[in-house]
Amino acid sequence: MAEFLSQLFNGLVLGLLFGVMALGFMMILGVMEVINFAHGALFALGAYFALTLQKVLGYWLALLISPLIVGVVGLVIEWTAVRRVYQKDPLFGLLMTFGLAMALEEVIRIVWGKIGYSIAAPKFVAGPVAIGFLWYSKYRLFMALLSLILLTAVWLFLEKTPYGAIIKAGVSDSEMVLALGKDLKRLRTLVFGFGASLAGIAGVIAGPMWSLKPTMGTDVLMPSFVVVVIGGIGSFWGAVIGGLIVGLSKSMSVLVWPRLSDLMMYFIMAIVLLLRPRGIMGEKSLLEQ
Amino acid sequence: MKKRGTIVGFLAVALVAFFVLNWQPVAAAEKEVRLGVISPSSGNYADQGAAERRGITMAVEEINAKGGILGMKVRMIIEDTETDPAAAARKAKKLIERDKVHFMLGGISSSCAIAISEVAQRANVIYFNTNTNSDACTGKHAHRTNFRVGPSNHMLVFAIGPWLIKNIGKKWYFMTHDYSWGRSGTAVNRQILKKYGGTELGEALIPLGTRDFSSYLIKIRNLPTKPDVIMCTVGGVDLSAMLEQVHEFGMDKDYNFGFTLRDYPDVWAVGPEKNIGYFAVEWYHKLDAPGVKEFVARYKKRFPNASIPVPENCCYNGYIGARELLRAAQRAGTLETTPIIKALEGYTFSDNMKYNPTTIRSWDHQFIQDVFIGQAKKPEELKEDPTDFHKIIGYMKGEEVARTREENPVQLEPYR
Repeated sequence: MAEFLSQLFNGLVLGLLFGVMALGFMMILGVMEVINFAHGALFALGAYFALTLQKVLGYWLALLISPLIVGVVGLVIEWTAVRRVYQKDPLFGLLMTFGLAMALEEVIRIVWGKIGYSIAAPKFVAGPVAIGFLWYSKYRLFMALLSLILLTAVWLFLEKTPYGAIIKAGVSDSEMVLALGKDLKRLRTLVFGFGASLAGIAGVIAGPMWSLKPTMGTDVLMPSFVVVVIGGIGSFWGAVIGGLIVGLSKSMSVLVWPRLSDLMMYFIMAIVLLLRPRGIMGEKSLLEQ
Repeated sequence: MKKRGTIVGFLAVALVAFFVLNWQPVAAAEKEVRLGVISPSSGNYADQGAAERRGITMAVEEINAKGGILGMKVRMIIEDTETDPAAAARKAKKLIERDKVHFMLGGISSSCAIAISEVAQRANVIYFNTNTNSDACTGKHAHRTNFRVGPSNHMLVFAIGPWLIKNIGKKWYFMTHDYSWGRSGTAVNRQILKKYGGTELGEALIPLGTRDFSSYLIKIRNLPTKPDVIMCTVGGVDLSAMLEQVHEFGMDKDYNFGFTLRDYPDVWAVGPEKNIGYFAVEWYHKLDAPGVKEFVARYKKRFPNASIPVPENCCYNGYIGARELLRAAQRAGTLETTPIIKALEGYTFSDNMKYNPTTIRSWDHQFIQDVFIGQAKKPEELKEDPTDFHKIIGYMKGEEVARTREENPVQLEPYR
């Protein structure tokens, strides 16, 4: 029982991080109809910026500034490259962002080198803590808290501000947004930047846990994609629920058959696709055309 | 009648194919020796790959500085295995067919090395796999053209395993990297448990590329019996991430970790705080053996800006492998495969920077050499020398720990 509860808890914590990662991915997919393969690379960039900035600015400022820089990188990418593939065959977007992902990974290799790095967790959350039934990492509790705060902030932004309303409208029908006289071009650039900084902040948070290497982006790209397919495009709760499902699938399958822990999410994805192709909370979108 | 025609046709095609594939131009006078270096610069073992290439480079440059071999300079042609067996086989083919290399060396990942050695054997090109340890590389997948420079898992585990049983305990839990090397490591560890009457408490199979170990660690915390030793055959970036999380979950305080092999680059990446456990080591830069100090000095001079400031086990194996391969060609007086293989088989050399000489065993092509037992130093013990991660607490002679002929009944292919 104790193990069951521990794994359940661990799955939820991981799920929150996957949720943050997938949220940015989903928003870009929703508004731009571009499957952003560079999302993983932006995640890695976030972690690497934090690695460098932490030494100079300390943990908190790095946590704040690294995602902003990644956001700016996202803006530049959108402005120079991604913008050219809107409304075209989705394959163009796929190829474009795939190329970008490889280029960014190479940039990481050039700037930070090929070797792996380890970032220390900030002192106040280093080490383990005993909470009732389980020994858990303090850092992961802190990470769960950060993820919760972030998710709440994004939710408030989407639900309670006029900008959020425009973005949501953009996700559901971008042409109508244009017809209503909103600047769709600018909206897209901003959403891309916003999605990128979400990837960046997920990278900063995950860095101390998973350690840094140039290919770390590729490792999280697939889970993010699976989260979005399971949760559905165009729904905030879809990304959160999808994230939790993927997190839980990873931890709970260790209870039954550990070898399944990497595969389980794909089985779930297959089942969801068979029963409800648009995902659990999703609206009709690119993936159904 | 028609059927016989088909068979004859098939035989004719096979015969032609046989000759085409085996046809080699009459050896033109060579002007250089081409050494194919096939080793990962991306994927799980990129750091280890870079380290072994530093060793190989040193050996080649030292030999070239003395005029090369057979009056020719040695040129390295480097390919990346991407730590992926399929890519490794493709690159090996490219090195043999397009670059016409005389020999190949490199490896790190046992699964990659097995793929490369198949290609090399088909083409009758000598391949030294430099930093692999799976027993399969000189066992089930042994080849006439394939030599293994590092110790086998059997040698490593028969060094560290009995020490752990005697000094730490008999109840073990296994963490196994789910590919050739990891599975072979845990298989030998099970032999140790059986031999010494230990108990296995379970096993976690870790897929290559695993980033998150939390659920595995939680599982261990919740085992009904607490293991005396968590015996790990996990390597590369994955091991760095694991050490990171072992520390994060406080497992390093409450459990003893054993490791089939400690690759220096993995602990160098995580730093002294998270450097834990007991392990087998192939070589160490603080060994008190002849030639070690000079080697370290040459390394520092050649690679002042290397990501790892001292030569470590992967660099050592790369160096020894390249040097012995080229020396054997010099002894054989030719670049032809068979004479060089004969010059290698049964050869013993003592300038190996270890306590006892190393012998290249003739029947499975395993380098039989000293294996060291190490313990992770505590961070405060690294104050004086920040590179001094291991405390060497013992060693075993190669022949004491290697498989016997009965235990490894391989038959190498005939000479070609």
